[in-house]
Amino acid sequence: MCVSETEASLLMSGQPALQESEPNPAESSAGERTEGLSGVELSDLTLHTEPLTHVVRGLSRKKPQHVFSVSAFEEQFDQLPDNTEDTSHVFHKGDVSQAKGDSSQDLDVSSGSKSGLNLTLKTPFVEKRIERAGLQRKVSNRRLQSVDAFDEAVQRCLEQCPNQDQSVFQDGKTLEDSSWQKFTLGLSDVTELYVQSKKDDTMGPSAEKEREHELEKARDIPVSEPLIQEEKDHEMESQDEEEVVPSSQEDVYLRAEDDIVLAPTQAMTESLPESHDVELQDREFVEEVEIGNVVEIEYENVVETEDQEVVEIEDENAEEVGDEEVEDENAEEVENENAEEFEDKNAEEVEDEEVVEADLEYNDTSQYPERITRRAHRSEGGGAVLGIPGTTRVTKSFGAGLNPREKDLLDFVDEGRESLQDIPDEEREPLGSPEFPQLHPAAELSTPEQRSQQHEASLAEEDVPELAEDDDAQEEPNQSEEEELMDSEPANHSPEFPQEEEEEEEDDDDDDALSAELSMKTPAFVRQKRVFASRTAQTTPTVLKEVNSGPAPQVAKRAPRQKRQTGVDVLPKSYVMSVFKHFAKTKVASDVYPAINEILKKYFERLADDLEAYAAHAKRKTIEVEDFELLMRRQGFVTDTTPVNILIEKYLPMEYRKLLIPVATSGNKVIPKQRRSSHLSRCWVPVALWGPKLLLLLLFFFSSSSCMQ
Amino acid sequence: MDEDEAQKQRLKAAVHYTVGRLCQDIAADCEKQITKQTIAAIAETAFRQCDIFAKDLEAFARHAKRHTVTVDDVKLTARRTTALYNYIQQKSEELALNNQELKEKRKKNAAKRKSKDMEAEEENELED
Repeated sequence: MCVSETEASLLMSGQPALQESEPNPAESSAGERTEGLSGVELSDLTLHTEPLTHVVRGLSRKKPQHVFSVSAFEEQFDQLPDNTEDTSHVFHKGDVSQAKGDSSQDLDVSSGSKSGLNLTLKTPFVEKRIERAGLQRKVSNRRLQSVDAFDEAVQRCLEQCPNQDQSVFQDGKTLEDSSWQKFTLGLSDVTELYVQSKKDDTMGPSAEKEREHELEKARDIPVSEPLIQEEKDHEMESQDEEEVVPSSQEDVYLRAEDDIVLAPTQAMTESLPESHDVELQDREFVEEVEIGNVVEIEYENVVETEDQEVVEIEDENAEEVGDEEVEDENAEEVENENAEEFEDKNAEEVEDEEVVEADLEYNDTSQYPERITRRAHRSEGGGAVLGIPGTTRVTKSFGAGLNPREKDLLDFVDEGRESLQDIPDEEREPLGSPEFPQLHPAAELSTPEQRSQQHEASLAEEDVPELAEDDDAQEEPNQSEEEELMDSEPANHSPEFPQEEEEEEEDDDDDDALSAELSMKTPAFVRQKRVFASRTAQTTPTVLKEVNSGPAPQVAKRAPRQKRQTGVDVLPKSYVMSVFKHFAKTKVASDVYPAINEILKKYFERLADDLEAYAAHAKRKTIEVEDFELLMRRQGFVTDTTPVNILIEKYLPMEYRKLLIPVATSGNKVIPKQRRSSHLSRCWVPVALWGPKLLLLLLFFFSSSSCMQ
Repeated sequence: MDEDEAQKQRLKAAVHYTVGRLCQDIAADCEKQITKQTIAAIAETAFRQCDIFAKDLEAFARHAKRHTVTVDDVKLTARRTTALYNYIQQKSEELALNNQELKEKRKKNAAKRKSKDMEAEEENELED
């Protein structure tokens, strides 16, 4: 609760009630952030660097208003039950400052009672009115920070704003917008962010910006690349601004942001003109996958990082980037390392290559890995739906990004929140499309780099499809091969993991080169998802479930795989359907056949694999009948009480006694009977050569398929 | 038959106790509590699965025309579960290495002893 309130106040959104509810789940899901102080931490992190710059702003404004607040304070006391309404109302434009002042006071009052965040509030504020609970707490938390620092931060923001305005304007956005985005993490068009790569160059150095530096990094990836290679400080700042925006848009722009996040780290140190855009794009492409985790990291970095650390990181990044040729690799590696360090799970594959390089660079960021790891864990948990972790984090980002100008921030926050909310609903693919033109050259450039690192791809081969899928949205123009992955992407996020696995498997080879680097940076959760998908596919019950849900998933899956499906039928459709209908005992739609076909395919593949294993176990090279007997025992058809011969007598007569026994004993002479199932008899003729025991397998399959459901 | 039943009950109790201890450790890590019914269910499931494993292992050993269940049989059983299979493979490789080292040591020792014996014999012969 405290956290939500804090965020609400930070966000300065007009509806603290909503914020409270929204951040609450986000906070709670965030894990350590659920604590009352945790919410404050986000803003507090900034505090470490520039404590409560944005928050301070409001507070600073409130300072002079303290005098007024007494009466208003009383009013608010009366309105305590209406806090949500008031706060929202208050915060909107005009009364933000007052609201903050009140909220700050209220926080003092409420902090003790509610959140228990008994942060030391300045005495003058304590007496003041109590605004909405959420706001109050936040303010109180903020107030814990030194007011002086806040004032300084506020002034710096004011100073920076004019600077920002100049540079931001290049992109056609108002500086306020961009800067606000940084603070409010408003969700402006990501594409714009990428387009704004150049505005960062002109950004003047600012202490406050350093704090947002990390946030902006995420956004500045497109920008950062040029920046990366050349200038440092001023670029870093501008990058920060951009990063803030992309970071705020974690959900939607996970992929894009990944690049941005990673790139900025290096870009921060250097600023290059468009020539390096390509590199940035490459990094973007590479880092796309890691956006989710990296963005989180960025947030943490931004919030927690002190200015010095940021500078150091940037310097390190700059150092790494020496040669243009090496830059890309370094950038990618550094970025990979960043992601890796932040993502412990990715450590295995990427660390081997990049550990050496990363160690030097990220010594200062030791504190980040912890947070990043936590976020990575969280993000991994939400791997199924990448948007979810983003959403949770988004709220925080809002809180973290304090707006020097409350009004504008509120507007952006509202916009951002709306867009953020829409983001999870939207698929990433459409979002990726606007980024295509920018990423296109990057993707092309990155491909050779990726190929250079294919060894990593081999390590993460399974993850590649995941990565490729994530990247597919953005790389479509580059690779038509990934189209299938694109189609599978929606499926990826659907519970139809086994289907995804198949698609991914088939496209793995195609995308290995492309996703080689991506695989290096695959977020752990993505890899886990991939592994999980493969595992679930192996589970028979899951496969059988597909039969029931066959039509829907099959239809979705059919598009990319149609060729394969129709091209390779395990058994004739008429035969399969007739047998299936016989055992189903209910009406069966004919469009279940593709599902059954897939199941049959998997069944026989697994069957053959088992038989081969059994033969190898017996140190033979030929599959014998005893291997089948072992298989049937494993399948449960043959037990201690029912030897195989009994099974033959039991089943074959049930279905085909009259038909098959003569067939089996006739030595390949069959006289088909003129019956309805005559076609079946014809199908069975060649099968009969196998012997009655082997025929049981087919019978058992169909019977089991109906029984085991 | 009662003996078998009694034996079975004792084994079940042993499994239940071990499962309970493991669950307690896990609960402590997760900072959550595990009900006794859950532990009982897990113990029962583990016991039955052990029974199934035993039967499968015996079938595999017999399939290979052996009278002893070996590591190969175990690997064949765990073939499907990827994680467990990899883990078992690693462990078996480690064990194989250890066994090889032990064998090498034994060979060296044996060689040393032989050389010593040879020397001793030579000395004896010389002395004689």
